[in-house]
Amino acid sequence: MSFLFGGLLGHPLRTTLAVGKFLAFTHLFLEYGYSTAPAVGPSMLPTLEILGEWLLISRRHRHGRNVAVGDVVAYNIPINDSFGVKRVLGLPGDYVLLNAPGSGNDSMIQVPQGHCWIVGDNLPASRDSRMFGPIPLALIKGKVIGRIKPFRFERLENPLQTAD
Amino acid sequence: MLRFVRQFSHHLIGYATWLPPLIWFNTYVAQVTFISGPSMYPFLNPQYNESLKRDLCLVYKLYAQWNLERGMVVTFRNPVDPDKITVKRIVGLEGDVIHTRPPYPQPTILVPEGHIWVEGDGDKSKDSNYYGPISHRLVTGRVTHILSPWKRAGRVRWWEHASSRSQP
Amino acid sequence: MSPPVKTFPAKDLPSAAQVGANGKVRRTEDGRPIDLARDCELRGLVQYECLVMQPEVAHSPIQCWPVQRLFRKCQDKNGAFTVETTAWEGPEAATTSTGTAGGHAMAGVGVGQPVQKLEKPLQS
Repeated sequence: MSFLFGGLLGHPLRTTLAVGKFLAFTHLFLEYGYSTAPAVGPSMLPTLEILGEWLLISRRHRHGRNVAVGDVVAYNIPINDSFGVKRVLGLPGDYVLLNAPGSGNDSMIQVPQGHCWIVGDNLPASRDSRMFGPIPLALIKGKVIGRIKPFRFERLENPLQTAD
Repeated sequence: MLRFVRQFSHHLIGYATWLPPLIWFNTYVAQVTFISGPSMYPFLNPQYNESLKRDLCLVYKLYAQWNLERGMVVTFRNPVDPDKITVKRIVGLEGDVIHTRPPYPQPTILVPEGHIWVEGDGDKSKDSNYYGPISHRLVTGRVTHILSPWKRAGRVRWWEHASSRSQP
Repeated sequence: MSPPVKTFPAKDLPSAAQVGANGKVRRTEDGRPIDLARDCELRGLVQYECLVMQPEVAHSPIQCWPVQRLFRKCQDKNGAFTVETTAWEGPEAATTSTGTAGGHAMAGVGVGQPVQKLEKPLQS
């Protein structure tokens, strides 16, 4: 008893501080290193399923750092308080179609400085840059590097990076 | 000597464990920071062209994106340069009609859902008139107090600065 | 919402691609203007139009039709940039706009037959 009180439990302040430091460290790691998040919805079919997807996100790619066209990113949706997952089709200075191919409208824009153009893989079911325009790179939380499945990990490849 | 090294490194590690809580606090709760540039002149940095002194401000970061009001002085990630933090005053909220200034191409604009219209107090300001309405998700904090210089130190009374240029 | 941007039709792509986002004129390493067909490598990316066959059921079978998008990776003095050329040289380019480079249309792409079928057993 006296050992317990004299040691760990005897210093509630010290214990609290240690826990607090640990929590802060963990939070920073999840914010600036790697984090995981669920993805729900039909907008990234068939790359990601509607339900049951758990993603590994590299927060080192936050704010669009080293993100390439073709990467899948997690981003803060500019018009509400949730986050989404979409594919990057254009970075600052790139040229993209304003609408989906085959929409009958071939208008294009140049992605402005500091912005990117993101579109879901399932064109009819995705609300993306075609609706709210280019989004600031600052809203990119990170790059989706893979999906975590029970007992395995599937890397997401960038179709534009790998030569065909 | 060995003992000194051991003690020194022990202390160093002890101090280093305080870094994560410190960074966390600065990012999510509050931060004391210098404001540079003339864009908020004359409210901040009134002597920007006379001296290199900059205003020291307290930026409150907890729930910064919630309950934004016209007149508030906010910090946000620059939409044109994601690594830059910018300070401006909120002139319009979503649904407001703003009478823009040049170089914005249209004379008036309706601030869209989830967006705000920000402007600097000074005329040397690259603000929403340059890059358009910004998403509220870019906001990182609110300037609540001026800490230095002493003469102007005190609470930022943003509610006295409601703009006449926006109509709800 | 973002900075005011100008739109242009896909047939103007060769001239629009000459200016960077900062307003500076693009030049290749040896000082020429950018020639999309010659200087830029053609790449493809497939997106989809998917149909959830039974939306009311979890894990419903899903049928997806591919939508081919074409991109060209270009290099100018200041680095790399990407140009979507789907509407300029893709299969629909000839019908929607005139006078494009042509000759680069990929065979058998565009909205066509369902090549990818994700089938999941129905949950009872």
